[in-house]
Amino acid sequence: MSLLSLIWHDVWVKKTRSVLTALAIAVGVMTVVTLGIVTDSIRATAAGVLEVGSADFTIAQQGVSDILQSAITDAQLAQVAQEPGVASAVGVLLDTENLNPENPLVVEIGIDPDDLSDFGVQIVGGKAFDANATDQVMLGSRLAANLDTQVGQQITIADGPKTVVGIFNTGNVFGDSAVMFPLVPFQAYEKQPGGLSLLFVKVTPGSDVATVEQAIDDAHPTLVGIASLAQFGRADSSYQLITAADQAATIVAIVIGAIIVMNTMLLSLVERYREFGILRAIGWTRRRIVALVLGEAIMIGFAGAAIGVGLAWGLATILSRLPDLVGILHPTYTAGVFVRALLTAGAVAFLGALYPAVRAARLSPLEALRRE
Amino acid sequence: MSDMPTAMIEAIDLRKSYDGGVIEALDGVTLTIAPQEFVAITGPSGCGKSTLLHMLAALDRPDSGTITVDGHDLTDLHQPNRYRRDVIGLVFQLHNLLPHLNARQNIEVAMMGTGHSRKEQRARANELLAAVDLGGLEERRPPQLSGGERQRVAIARALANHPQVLLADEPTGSLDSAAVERTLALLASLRRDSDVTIVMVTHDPVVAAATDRTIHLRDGRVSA
Repeated sequence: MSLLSLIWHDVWVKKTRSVLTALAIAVGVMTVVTLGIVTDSIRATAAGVLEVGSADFTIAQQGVSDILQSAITDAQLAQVAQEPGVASAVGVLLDTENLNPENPLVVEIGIDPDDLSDFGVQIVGGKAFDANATDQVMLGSRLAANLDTQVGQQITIADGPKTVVGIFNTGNVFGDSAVMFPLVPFQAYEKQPGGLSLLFVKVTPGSDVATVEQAIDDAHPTLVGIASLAQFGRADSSYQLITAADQAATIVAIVIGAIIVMNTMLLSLVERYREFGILRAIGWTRRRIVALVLGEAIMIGFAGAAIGVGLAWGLATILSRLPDLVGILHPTYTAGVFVRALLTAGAVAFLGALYPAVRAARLSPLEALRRE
Repeated sequence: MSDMPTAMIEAIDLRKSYDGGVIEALDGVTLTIAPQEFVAITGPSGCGKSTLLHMLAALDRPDSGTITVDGHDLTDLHQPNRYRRDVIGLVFQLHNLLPHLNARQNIEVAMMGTGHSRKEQRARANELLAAVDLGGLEERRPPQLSGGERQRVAIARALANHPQVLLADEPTGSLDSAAVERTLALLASLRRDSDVTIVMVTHDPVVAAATDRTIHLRDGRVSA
């Protein structure tokens, strides 16, 4: 008989205890994984925002709760464009609109047609809109397909019907799901003349991106550069908040899960004093006892992880169908989600079982054998 | 295993007290047991016979005195678990089998960590169960066995790693007379067919009479 088969046997024989412990771990895993899925979804959106402009880095207003609420002026755009090392700076005004129940969160991008090329836009159908046209839009290829709309057709968006004059590709899911307006009419519609949301900056060849970004940060205290997803929280406090909440919830879930596992294992330890005494009396080492108890907990932990991932999948699916979250939350089940589940369950099981395992190993065999 | 010693077990002036010296469990016990001897340790309740057996099993230590088993100085034993696994076999009055494992698994558990493959463990367990006349009951768990059968599984487990010494603490204490006879016959056959030294604690003079020699303890001392 191997240690692994004994561990499996013990877990299987003590089904009720194993199932209850696995469920406790599953709840922790579910919490962590669901939050992870939500955070990943938000992260994917953030990454989309950063990548849509094909820029070296993005500039936003510092300290806003949501990066889409960032407010920059065209005067600031002009200043940034003059900074050393800046090859081009494209300013866009962003908003979102609930187009229909299937498309509850369509991103609207106001952009000057002269900047389309620098912004990484490739027109794949029709033409670019005119700079001052109030009734023209271009649709991202995904959105056009989604709306089943062709060049020349009309859609009702913003302040009324608009003609789709072009279909574009950006090579980015976020961008290709957006609708683009000529900047000036869009600023007027948004009642933000001269207003922008984000600046997308490309540096001159040979310039160091971080150095240029830092120089702009230093020169413009109200602006903040974002060169990577890791820096996204600098401009979007909601993102920062949810990332922090995700981390805090993970810690809380692990601690609570570990306490539940420890409680269960300690109760089980009392029931199993005699068993451990027997094993020590017939020559088992302390290390082997520790391995047995930890092994049982970790095996139960993996079962809890599997249940927890299933529960998280269900919860994330329900959340993504809530009216307030349709189109916002796109659950993605990456390998990272499963690694996270396994790590959480492993940590919960290991931390929860460590103390009971050490106590079991330290039992005097004689004392343990005398216990009833 | 060391070279064959003249004494398999040698205890000199063993002393052990509890409750700050109020209870003198062993009060200068000195004894020698030869290899392959079958010895009974008898005496009234509280005379120290179980304490002595626990010391021979390295489950307890004397306050003073020396104790050597198969050349191992038990007062200076660095790996008592290894000693219990490789040198001795232990049989308890209440069999102390693991109730959730079947008869064969109870024996295999004693062989874990010895380097034997699962196949070898299984073969050895089946061989031992056959030797104690329990062939065919390998899959039964302790609650599905009679008291005598459980005790024979416990003896088989104690023999799993080919011990030099078999230590039995009242192995017949909870058995009916038929099971007592059968257990004694099994121990006698072990004595006859193997080179194991057997030390059996018992308070039953009839059981003690089945051994080669009786060491009688009284008030923590050897009295005969």
